[in-house]
Amino acid sequence: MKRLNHFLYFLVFTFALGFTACKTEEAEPTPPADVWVVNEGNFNSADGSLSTYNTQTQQVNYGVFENVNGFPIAGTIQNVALFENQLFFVTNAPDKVEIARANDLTSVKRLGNTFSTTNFSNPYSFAAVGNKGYVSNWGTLQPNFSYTDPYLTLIDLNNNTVSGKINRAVQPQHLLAVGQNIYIANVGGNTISVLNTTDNQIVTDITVANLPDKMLVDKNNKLWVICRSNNLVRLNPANNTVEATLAIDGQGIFSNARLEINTAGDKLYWLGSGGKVFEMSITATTAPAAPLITEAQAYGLGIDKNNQIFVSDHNGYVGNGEVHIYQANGTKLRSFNAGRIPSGFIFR
Amino acid sequence: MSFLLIHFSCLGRVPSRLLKSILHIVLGAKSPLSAEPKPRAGAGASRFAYAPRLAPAPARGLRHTASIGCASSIWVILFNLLIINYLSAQTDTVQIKLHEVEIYGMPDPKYLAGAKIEAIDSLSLRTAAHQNIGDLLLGQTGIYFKQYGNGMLASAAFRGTGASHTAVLWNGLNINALTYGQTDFSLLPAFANENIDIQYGAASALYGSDALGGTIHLSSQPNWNKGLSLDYQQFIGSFGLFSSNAGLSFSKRKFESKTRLYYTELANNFPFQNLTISGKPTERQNNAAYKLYGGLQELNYRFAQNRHFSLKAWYSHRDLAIQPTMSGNQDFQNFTSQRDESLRLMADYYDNSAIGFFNVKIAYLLDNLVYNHYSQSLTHRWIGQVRYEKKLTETLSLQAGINSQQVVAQVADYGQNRQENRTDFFVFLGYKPLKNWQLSLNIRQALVTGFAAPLAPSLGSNWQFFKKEKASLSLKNLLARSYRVPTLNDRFWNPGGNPNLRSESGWSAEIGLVYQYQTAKIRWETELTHYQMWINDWILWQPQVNFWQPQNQRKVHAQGLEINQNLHFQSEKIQTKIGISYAYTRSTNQEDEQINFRDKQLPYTPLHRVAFNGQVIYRHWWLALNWHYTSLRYETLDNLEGLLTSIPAFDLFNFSAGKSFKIQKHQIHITLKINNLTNNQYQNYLFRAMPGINYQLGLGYRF
Repeated sequence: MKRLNHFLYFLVFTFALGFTACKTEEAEPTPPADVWVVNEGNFNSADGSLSTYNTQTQQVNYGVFENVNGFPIAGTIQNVALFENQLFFVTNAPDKVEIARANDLTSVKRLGNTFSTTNFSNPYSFAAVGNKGYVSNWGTLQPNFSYTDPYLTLIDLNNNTVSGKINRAVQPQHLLAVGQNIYIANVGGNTISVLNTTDNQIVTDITVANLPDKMLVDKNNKLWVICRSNNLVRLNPANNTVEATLAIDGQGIFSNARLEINTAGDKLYWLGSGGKVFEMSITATTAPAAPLITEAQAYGLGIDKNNQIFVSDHNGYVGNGEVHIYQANGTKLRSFNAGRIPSGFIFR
Repeated sequence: MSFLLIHFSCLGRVPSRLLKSILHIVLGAKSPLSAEPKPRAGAGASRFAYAPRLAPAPARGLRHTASIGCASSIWVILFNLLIINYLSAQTDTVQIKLHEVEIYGMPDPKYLAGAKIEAIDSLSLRTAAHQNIGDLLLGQTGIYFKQYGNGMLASAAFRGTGASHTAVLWNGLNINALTYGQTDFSLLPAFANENIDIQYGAASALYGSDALGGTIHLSSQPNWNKGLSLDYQQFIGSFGLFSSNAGLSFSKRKFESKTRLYYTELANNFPFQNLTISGKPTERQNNAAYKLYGGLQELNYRFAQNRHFSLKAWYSHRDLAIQPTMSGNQDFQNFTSQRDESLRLMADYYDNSAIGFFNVKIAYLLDNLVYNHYSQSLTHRWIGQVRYEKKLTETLSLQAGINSQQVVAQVADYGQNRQENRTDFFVFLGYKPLKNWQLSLNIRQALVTGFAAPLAPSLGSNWQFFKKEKASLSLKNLLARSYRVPTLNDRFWNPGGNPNLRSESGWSAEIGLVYQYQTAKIRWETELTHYQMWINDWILWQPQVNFWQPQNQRKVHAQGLEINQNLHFQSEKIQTKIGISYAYTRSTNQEDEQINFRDKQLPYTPLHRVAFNGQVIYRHWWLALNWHYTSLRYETLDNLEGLLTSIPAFDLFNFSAGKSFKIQKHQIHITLKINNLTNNQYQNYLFRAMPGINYQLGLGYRF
């Protein structure tokens, strides 16, 4: 039986080896941070997250939402909107809107689908006026990967409940609140629809260029639209007419169509293909040919209060991403780590 | 299980002297009967045991029955031998000696020198009839299987390699899907296969593409003169498990027919704790049901002792609801499904004569995967293979052959039908310079339409440098180059398919030490293996301007340590078997622009895996305990630990017990299995729920 003893030693040894891998680390408390990085997450894993960066201490914190709430955002984050001290995480796979308090990230509510009610179908973006929230939905995914029956979901922000639907004929993308109206970029077509929030009726459809995607308003209260057909369109929300259409040359825009503006509201930034970041004055009459920055794996874009340019990097989608900070003149300052596929920023 | 018990009970009736001599033979101790059979004069390699032999070497179950002679005087002994072999079969997981006898699905051991080979014992196979091979091997071996949920896509991560770096051979031919380059192990029920053997490490010289991390052999072989037998196994269990498995075989001197039919359905609506929702409520899993059924038919005909012909057909069908992530459990709009179908046909002719040994195979393989009732990917393969083997001298054997495949792919996303030819030429040399030293030198060159695969040589050595009466020590060495031809998806997917891809290729070196100790009652075997592997041009899909495209991107270094430990105690009434497999796997990304990703463990590659299997057999009773452990896996290449970035370690206890009854010729056995005894809530893949404790009841009937 001596050999048996040896064998038992071996057993113990083997198991001991196995258990050394079981260590876990406690999460640190979240310090106040001024940059929130939205990490879209991997579609397959529903692991979208929020990480933070402190521009003073350069401290990065991962997974701040789950650290506060004990459960993750759990979806692929399409957009995060900050509205009256509430954050609205719009996710697909699964289709839902996660609502959290903006000051401490405490979860307020999760609005999703159940077997009996369909509230969202591949939702994309959130915008609100007063106590009315709107979520754009691409529609139902068909086996051939097309979407049918797009709509807007209405959310009553008094009690954060789904209060209705507005059917759409064309796939909506970005929503933007301007005054009492919601502007709907109809990415499935070539128009911007203007929805009056008082009666939820469409005021008008403005024909822009094909595949309008993101919108923002500049310091002159002009609305800019970046279109996947490689056009920038300026329109005047006062009379809902197109004022200018600027063609973006070269290889065109990056497929996720990022459009940002500086704090002063007079310089536009967008992502071109191949990780090029372009800068353009709102008074320009042609789009620039040369980029300000080239960051090969750029995925998201943000401009902070000091006009520093934040470019998020997907890192080939095989690991967590990172963020590169550039000065307004395009000089790289530093980089910091983020979560999975960082796609956007909220500056506080 | 039952045949084991029955035969075990026979043991009591065997005269003890005979028993002793039989045990000697079985356990490989010195005995006049265990002398190496002399090859028939002029018969060339004695590879095929068509000629009567005095005694077969130890083998699992029925494998060597072809060697049973007609001499009636030894019939009784041989019959009992068979019984004992059943016995020893039950108690062996790693039994390298097995392969001294012809095993149809694998090359002769002469050409396998240096390779580590593990066989799944027949008890485990039989009691897991309704399980898929992914689940089975995860519990039985140190290999890690990534499972996208319970009963969902299961892909191997063998020795730190990727999902398409394990070759799966069905009776010698690679059945990995050409489209996505791997085998979904959840599609292969244990019942469909008579034998499962696992060959560790690079073996492209022997098997061609995909054999980087290892090779899984699924095989069967003819059994003559067995008469009529039926084997029916019915399982019911938690979460709507219903599994019927029936085997019918009939054989005479020259003819054999084997039929196996299987049907398994699982509602898979197990409760789980939803970690992605506030308060972590318990929910029932939605959209994870499946139905898997199929059948195998094998016809064998023996023209003469040295010539035999075999026809095999295997049809398999699965309808699968694809288990969503935990957070998507209510998101029914986005539920997806798939259908898998495959048909495998093979005609096999063996001829062993004075000229040498010939084997000719013709096969047709069809694979069809329909995703969400819409996107179809259908491939056809016509395969022809000729092998010729000759024993050149007493110590030198040669095998040479050609394998040629014609591939037609009808995949919606390729835009057009794709057609190509793949032809492999191979030469194997087995050389035995000393009685205790075996060398193998194998080489293969594959030619694929449009591009070249690397030349794949391998050199292996098996040296038994120490031998006493009861104990022996052997040293194994293997140096091999292996490769993987890019998948059809990699090359033809529209958009993104990259026709300019090179084959992935790797070098590996391994060293192993095998200790064996055996007496009539104890059998101990320890195998310690260390390997190093370097894989270049590892293909990854990379984002491009408008689409993703595969590139020869990654450089991986995998190294590891494996310990396989098997111990059997055998007394007149109780048999005990303990098997432990441990695998330490460090597989790292070598080069990356991103410094955070350099030198990091590949995702879904656990550093540690342990599998413990204990079996006790007492008279008609039988008890088995399986425990396996998988250390933490990273979701991403920067190896961050966290709720979203790593998947915690898990371990599972599975328990099973059974009893058999015999009423004349009829054998009935009942089995109770309790899986996940400690009711662990665990994930194998991130946010894919897995079931807690569950029960399965089996009823079997055999004659």
